[in-house]
Amino acid sequence: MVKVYQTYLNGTRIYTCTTCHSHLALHEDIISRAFHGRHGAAYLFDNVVNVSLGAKEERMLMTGMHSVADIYCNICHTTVGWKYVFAFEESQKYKEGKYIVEKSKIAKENDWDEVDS
Amino acid sequence: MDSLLSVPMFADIDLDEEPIDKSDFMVRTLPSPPISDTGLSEDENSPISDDSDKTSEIEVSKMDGDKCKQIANHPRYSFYDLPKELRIRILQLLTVTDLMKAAMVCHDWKNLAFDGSLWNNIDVTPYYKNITTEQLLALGVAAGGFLKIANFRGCIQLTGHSLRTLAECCPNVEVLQLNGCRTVSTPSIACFVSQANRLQVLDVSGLDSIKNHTLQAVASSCPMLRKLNVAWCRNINADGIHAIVQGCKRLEYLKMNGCSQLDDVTMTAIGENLVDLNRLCLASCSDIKDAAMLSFLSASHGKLTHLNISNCSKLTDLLARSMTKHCPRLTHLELACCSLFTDEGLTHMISRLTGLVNLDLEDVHQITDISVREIAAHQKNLRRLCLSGCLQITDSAITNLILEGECADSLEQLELANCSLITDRALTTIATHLATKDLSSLQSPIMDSTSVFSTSPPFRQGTMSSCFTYSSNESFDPTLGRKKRQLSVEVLDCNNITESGVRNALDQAAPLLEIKSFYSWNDNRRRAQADAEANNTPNAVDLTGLRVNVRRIRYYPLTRTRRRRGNQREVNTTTNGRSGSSCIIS
Repeated sequence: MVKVYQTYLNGTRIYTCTTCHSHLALHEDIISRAFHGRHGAAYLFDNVVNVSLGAKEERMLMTGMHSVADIYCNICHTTVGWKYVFAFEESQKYKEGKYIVEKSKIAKENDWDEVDS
Repeated sequence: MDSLLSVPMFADIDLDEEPIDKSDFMVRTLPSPPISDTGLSEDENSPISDDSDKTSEIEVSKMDGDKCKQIANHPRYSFYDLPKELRIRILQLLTVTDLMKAAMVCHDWKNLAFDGSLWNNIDVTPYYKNITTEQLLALGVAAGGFLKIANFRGCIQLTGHSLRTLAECCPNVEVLQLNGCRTVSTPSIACFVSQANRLQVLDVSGLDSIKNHTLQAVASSCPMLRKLNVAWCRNINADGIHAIVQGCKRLEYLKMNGCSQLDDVTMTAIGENLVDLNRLCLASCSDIKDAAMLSFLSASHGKLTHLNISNCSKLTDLLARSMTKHCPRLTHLELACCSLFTDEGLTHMISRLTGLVNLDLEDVHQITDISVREIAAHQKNLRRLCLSGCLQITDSAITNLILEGECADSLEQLELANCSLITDRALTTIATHLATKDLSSLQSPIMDSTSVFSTSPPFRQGTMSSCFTYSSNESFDPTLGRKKRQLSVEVLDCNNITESGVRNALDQAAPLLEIKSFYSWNDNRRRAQADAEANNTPNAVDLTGLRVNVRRIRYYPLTRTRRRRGNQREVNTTTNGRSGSSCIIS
């Protein structure tokens, strides 16, 4: 099994994978929290690190037909969500290139050492 | 030991990305070759006679020929005539990169550069991906007994064997960070900690190789431990923690996110034994119950300042009284997703724990305006307040908080994401208040911080912009003598916040007010792209630039493209029956 180096993020609020504690995204990258993934609530992020893309497929979601690719955590290989690769409808175009990460798969981390008390 | 040092050192390591200017290299870092007889060589360092107390980095000044000959001929100026301690002291002023380059010069210089006293802090975080196992080990071994701070975060190339060798050579380690070193085995870690009796800070978060008996080894060998981070170690449970608290009684900082089976006995032990404990993180220990927390609080010694019990969904209001009584110094409290907490418990806590700086109530959806009003009435030092997901919070509570609250001056971040009862009126009121407060501080040196301007008439655009040409250019307020406080409000996914509301508020009060919403995010993204195109930089997502731009929100007049998109959103509104801003269903 090839071991991949983990990227570390710097920030006061970081979202991490619940399974393996690897950094996934910063709080500043949240675009919206009111999305729904396969298993419940999900967040829309601008940029996610330590993930790899799966195969592209076309799925019919509630807002229409989209071309998405599942994202997997690099370290523990769990599916944490998907990335919008292409949106067929004009109104959904803003989602292209963004990542949906399920809320059940991430944990919020506040960094006490950086934040001044 | 010598064989280890003969490993080809850093020949292929690329510690910095900037290309080395070859000519500079030749002038600046080429040292004097060891000359046997007359000492006719140029010195690497500036002459000793001047700048003897210079503490900045050594810079080779381009000396002209006559002066060079003068200095070179003088036997006192040879680098090799300096005692070894002084040579090492000189090299101490170099950065790690320069030290590595110096080590490549010759064997003498390599021995000097790898003298242990230069390496009491090994922090591989800037180059953990590039350094090899052998180089890492050689560094550690060279440091020897001088090594105090060892930060190996993310080094998956660190093997058990390396750690065991380091255990033998470096008994004085005080800070050890192994988070992310997934290839190190359990016995190796146990071996290291059993030799490191002076360990004060240990971070092994996320490692599956940490087991209960490893923690027992830590407890028995590291009595001086002050900070321990075992967050997300899946193979430990309450027994390991129990062992730790019996052995490491000086712990001040304990992070054990995700630890399971925390029962009454363990929690009481934590409270009793850790006299100095001030930061405790129990986030996502989802099976912890009220009884266990109560026993911890009653046994604790009252020095707790940071408490994180996010995601411990079984905890209820019963803790409120106990927390008030036993944690009087609490400053950071995180209760995110503890959905069983209600107004009753929270008001009790908020009215009595008045030193709070950071309060996280995300998704505690039973709380209402009552709690927010209590916060406004009692909390003077609050800087960050998160109420995201608290669906019952309304405009009036928020305006009360900003206008009349005790913490109105200190509040820096307010998060109201997903609060559907918050409307544009709240934003406008906040913006007007901030704008008028700033205006009054410009006019008179004494600022009345509790003045209420909730129904002030709207200022003319012209007046506002002239005032803000002064204040928006500087974030330093000369009358107050400090940086101007900026309030950042997050209103993502609020159905009743519209684009025009956000723009009006920003118009009035930027840069004192920062609003993070779907619209402002889009603005910054477009502006970042436009800037990238203007500077001819590649249009890949530049995360740092985007983050910086979020802080400087400016209003752009609506362009045609935006109006078109705005129209499209309105079309969406009519068809979907909700405002196009929130994209609820994907």
